[in-house]
Amino acid sequence: MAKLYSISQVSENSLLVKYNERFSTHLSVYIARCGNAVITHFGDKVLNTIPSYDALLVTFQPYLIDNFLQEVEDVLKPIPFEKNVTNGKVITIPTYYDLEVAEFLGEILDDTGYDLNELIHHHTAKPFFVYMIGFCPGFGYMGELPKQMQLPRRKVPQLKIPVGSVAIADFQTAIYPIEMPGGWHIIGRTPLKVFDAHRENPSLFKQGDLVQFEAISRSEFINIGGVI
Amino acid sequence: MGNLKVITKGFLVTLQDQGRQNCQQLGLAEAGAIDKHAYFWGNKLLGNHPEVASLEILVGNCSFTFDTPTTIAITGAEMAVQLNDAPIPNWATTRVDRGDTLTFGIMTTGLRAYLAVSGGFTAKLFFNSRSTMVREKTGGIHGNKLSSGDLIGYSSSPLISDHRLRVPEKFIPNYNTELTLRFFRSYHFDEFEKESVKKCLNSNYTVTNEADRMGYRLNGSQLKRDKGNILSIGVPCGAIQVPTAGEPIILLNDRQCTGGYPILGVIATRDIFQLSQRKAGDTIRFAVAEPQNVTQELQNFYRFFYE
Repeated sequence: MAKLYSISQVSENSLLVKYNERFSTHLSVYIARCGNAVITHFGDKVLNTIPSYDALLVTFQPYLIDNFLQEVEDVLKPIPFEKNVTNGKVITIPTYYDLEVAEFLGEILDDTGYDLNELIHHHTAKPFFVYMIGFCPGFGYMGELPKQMQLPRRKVPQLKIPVGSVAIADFQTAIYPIEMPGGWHIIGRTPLKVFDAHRENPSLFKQGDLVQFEAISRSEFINIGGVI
Repeated sequence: MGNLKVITKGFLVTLQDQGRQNCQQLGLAEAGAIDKHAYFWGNKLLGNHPEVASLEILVGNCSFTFDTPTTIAITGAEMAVQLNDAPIPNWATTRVDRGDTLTFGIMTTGLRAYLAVSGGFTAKLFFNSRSTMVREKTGGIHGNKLSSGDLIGYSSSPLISDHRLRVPEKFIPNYNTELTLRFFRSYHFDEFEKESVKKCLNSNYTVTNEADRMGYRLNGSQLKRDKGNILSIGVPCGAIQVPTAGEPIILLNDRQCTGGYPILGVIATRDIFQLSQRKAGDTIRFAVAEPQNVTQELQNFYRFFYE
């Protein structure tokens, strides 16, 4: 039987656990569990962990560098990989889909072959699973988009993507919680603040939750506090 | 408690320390001083704990006043610093008195200077760090770069000796040399076309204008990879990210936590410190690191400052 994952040293103080399994909702939950087990075992020796679709990056405190590879292997071994996973809660995200808030929407429609109504329909037809949080605070990677909506990333990232931008790339969709450079295709904008470091729960959703997009008009967008 | 007052804000002055802990799974950046060689030396000269907060000063052209006597240390880029119009040395401690004005000129070598103060600057801890992350509007004293009129507290610990302490010559880096960045072959290294990797290792790259605390975009020989898209994955500081156009971006302290472009490898930490003192137009080269040597080197570096 092939190993479920392999571990390698990727920098002086970082190990990458790469899972040999196609990403899925249950793999995502399993990886989160692995990350928590590493933090529990190593405590303050861990600087940061970053779980993702099919990998877990573990960075140790640089002043404590040691050969942690075997120890990580031992921590992960007893964690069961379960295939039955229950989803978290459903969060609704109102979104204004328009050229006015998505500069390159025309190109995106050309590339997907959709008209705007079809694009909106396919983006709001069912809730998306939040596979991971990363990239920037509260940036949830959600999926999966229908095949026809899947576009490769932009060749050169855009330098400034406005707050609240709803974007797609490959099989994924996401919301930009802060102004950032990025290589995703913007299709709309939500007036909600999806991340606020000063809120008790900074992020509106977490890994394992479901996000349902809902199309709103320009005036609804403005009324909820959206900025064009 | 003393206060440092910002008179002229300069280009980008931020409170920084060793960086944040256990925040990246929420998508919050690591942040922290980019050139830890200069940052740690400032604290070491003052007898501070290595992780107390200092000011990171980009380019220069800023000034401050002190309302309580203390000792400071300046390290990193050379910015012709003056205390009340008299020049003071870089990589050394200086006593300051109540009402003194400290002025940084425009850098002549390097890019970032560090201003450390005895006992460190104070701010609320956020994920075990006082570092500022401007893009997120988190950390530091108000989640932003410093502005004229801002007050930053410092603990008035007992004054250390009147004698000026200096960093030994052999530990002062030359920021004008041609820089070779050694990197760990990791992540997607084996997926890049061999010829393009060979070319990359044998050519010069230029730092572009798009170089900041988030990352350095380089100009030069293109790296090619024919395989499909990758899944977004966690990226450490120094990751060499290669967007589809083929020119590498080196991700630094304020980088995103995960990236969706393939990665050639990760730059050795001590070479990242050097890179952060290079500016647009400077030339750099790449070389494959010997993982064991580089790891040992970093271990020695941290022991030197932490023990």
